[in-house]
Amino acid sequence: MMHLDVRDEIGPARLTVARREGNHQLTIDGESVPVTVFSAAPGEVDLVLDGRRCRAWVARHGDDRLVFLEGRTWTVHIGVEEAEAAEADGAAGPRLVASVPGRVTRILAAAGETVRRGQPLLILEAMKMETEVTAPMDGVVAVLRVAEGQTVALGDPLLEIEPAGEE
Amino acid sequence: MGALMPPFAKILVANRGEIAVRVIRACRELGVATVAVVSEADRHSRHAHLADEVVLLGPAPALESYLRIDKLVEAARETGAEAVHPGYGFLAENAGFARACVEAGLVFIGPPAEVIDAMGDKTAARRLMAEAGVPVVPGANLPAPGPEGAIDEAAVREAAAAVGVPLLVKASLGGGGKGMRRVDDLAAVPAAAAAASREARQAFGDGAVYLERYLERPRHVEFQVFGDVHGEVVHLGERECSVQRRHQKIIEESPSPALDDALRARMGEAAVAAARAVGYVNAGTVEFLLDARGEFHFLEMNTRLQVEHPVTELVTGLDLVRAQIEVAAGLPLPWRQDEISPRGHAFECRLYAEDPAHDFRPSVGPVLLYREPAGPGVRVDSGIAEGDEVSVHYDPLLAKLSVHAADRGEAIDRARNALRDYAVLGVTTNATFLDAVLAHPAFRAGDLHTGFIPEHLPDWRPEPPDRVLALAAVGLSELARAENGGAGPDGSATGAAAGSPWSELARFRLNGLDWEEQR
Repeated sequence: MMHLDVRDEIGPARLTVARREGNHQLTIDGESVPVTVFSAAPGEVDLVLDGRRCRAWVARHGDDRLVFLEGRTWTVHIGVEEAEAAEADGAAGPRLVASVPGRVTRILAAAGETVRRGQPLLILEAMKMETEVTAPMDGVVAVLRVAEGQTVALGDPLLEIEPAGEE
Repeated sequence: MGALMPPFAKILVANRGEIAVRVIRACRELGVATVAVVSEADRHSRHAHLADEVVLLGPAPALESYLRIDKLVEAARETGAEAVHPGYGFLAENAGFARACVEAGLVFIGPPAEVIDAMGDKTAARRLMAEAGVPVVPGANLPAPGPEGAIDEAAVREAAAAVGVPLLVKASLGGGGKGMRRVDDLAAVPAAAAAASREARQAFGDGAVYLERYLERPRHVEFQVFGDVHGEVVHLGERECSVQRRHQKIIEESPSPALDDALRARMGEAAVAAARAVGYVNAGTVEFLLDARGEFHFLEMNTRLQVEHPVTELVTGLDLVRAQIEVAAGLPLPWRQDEISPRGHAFECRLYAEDPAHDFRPSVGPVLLYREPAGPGVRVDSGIAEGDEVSVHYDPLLAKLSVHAADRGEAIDRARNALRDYAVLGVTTNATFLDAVLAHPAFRAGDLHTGFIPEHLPDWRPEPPDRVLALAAVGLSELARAENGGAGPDGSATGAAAGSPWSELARFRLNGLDWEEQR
């Protein structure tokens, strides 16, 4: 019997999976899943659920398991710890992060500069397309964490804005 | 009709990714030796593995590698290549590159530099087409940008006012939506022109941009033309490329559901006239915008092989890349107009490394798992392999899935089924979005225009897979790994590395037979 605590976009889940006399038994959050397994190899699973036959591919990437299923993909994180600080969407708070991986081609605002909501702050280029990063609110550029020409990964901090006044 | 002697002894392929792979294949079939060029990021890429020789150009950024004319010419000389195939993108429509090749005694596999110049200057091209009796879309050139990408604002405003809004800012050397922006407000044109110019410089090494009137709800219908050095020009029918996202073509097809034989004949004649007007040689594409009344306007001519050439190859049964090489060697066109007869229907779906769940942002990273679909009428042109790293440096086009079937409906079914079997993990692709387009009733009805996606799928989000199945797959895969003593592939995570994927076969009964024994 194997226990797995996992988390995906929907939330946490507890899996158990076992083989008894050659048959697979699977539960999700305590509920038995009536699955028939044609084959289960590391990374490749062929099963039938509710009369539906399906082949799934599973790849490992650190603690993540990436699943390809019927033309769609899904990420399942193995482990109970809270998911890494959610990928900020780059426009939600005073801390701006890269919404695309790429290169900072231009910085249009300086630290200490007062900016208006919607004002372009810098330009990211990835795969030859430019993405403008704009101020999510009125405020002052508190910290600039990147320089022109710098390469950034998805989620890397770009700059921080001190919001103007209180809402 | 195989050539008795290869048209060239050796060809340098001045590109990367799927198109480099495509060209190398054609060379091998012709018995031509190949030289691949790579950046430091592409040393172990698929095109490098396929070629007979590999030359390292420089660091990953294209400006320091694939756009370095001097290094490419030097590589051709050093390896003794006789000809250079530019693919598409990069330097394919750079007359300076064509000229540098010729001056170095190399054959440039494409039209003469003067023709690239004539068609590359899009405003001059439109004038030329108007003279040849081909209707054109109104537009205006802009002055060349300064060293910092700045363009004379007054001139931009004046040109924009003359063209009128809405308008498009487009890269003069452009293609593929790069350096292109739609602008609805005259005041916003200078900023858009500057941004488009910077993008154009990055992508094509030249920041020149121009303006063009934006037409509402047109179809994008283009004709494949082909000329030889003996003055013969033919067309190979049309491709409809109306389904575009942010000016980037994503699904192309042939024939166009909008054309009947009479319109096809008229547009084909116009395309051939356009090619003849500039003395066109080799493969080219004449792009038209077609409105609902069946009126068509010349948009531009692409003086290169198109990304979407496979749909033409599928319906005509002809090999365009092979013909490019033969024609470049001075051979006559392998086909007469009356020998070209398209059959059935073909689609091409462009698989991009982008995340449709997050506003189609570029997706980069390792390709952990890669399984191409197969089957009758299914063709994959791809430049990637498992274990590759998709980087931010290049175009996000990973692969092209093309299908051919007896009619349009069957071809849609075939494309959808193949997409369902196209497994890519590690890098997120737009496959689910392609399927959503193919599944849309308006698409099936053939009711297309260049604004199809904003009209029909403006807020589309991918649906997750069946969660129970996904979790079951993870649980079963993990158990199998534990039973293997933790063996099994990490990262690449395929059964192949651990022997047969069936090695952990579960026993159960199917149709009264023991499954394990049945295998």
